[in-house]
Amino acid sequence: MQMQLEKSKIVDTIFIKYNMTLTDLLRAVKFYSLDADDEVKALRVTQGKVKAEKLKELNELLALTPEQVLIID
Amino acid sequence: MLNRESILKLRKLMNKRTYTKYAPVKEELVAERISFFKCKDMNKYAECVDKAAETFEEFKEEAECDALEYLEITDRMFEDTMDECKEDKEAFAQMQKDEKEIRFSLEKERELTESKEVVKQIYIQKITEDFTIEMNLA
Repeated sequence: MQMQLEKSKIVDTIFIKYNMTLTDLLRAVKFYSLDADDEVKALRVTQGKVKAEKLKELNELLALTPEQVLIID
Repeated sequence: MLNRESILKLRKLMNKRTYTKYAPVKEELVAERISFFKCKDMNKYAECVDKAAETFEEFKEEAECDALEYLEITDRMFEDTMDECKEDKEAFAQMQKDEKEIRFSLEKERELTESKEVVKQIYIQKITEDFTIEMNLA
């Protein structure tokens, strides 16, 4: 729910500043083929790498140590 | 299990019905939400976001129940196929594309007056802020 709330704030900030709804923005992105833009693609690749790294950290954090496994198993 | 083509068609149909019912209500809910955002009443703003999510979910469940009942598909079969579909990158991308098309077809079109550079700047701003939130809340 918190995620939805925060994302709504982003969408509403754009609407107030540019008079553009999310659908308007997505239409404009499609019109200008911005998903194929090099800068946009590079940004997504960078974000993907950071996400993968964070996921790895999270998995490591949640993984049991060999000692913990010995205790449980 | 349903095959990929069938589940994509079924989901598109369900989404179209959900969005068709939700679109007129959405206009009112968004206007109310923005008014609270402008006057920085964040409690009322959060209530509006909740209300919109609940309304959408209600319409979505109704569309799903009706379609599954009519087509005699069990909830389990639908959910298992959907889970499998979400793991399939191509199918997932198609679902997102279908949802965007439904949204485009049902929401009022505004004349595009912004240049490519301006739209790009707004888009990058949105992608960056979405990402920051996802990372902070992860």
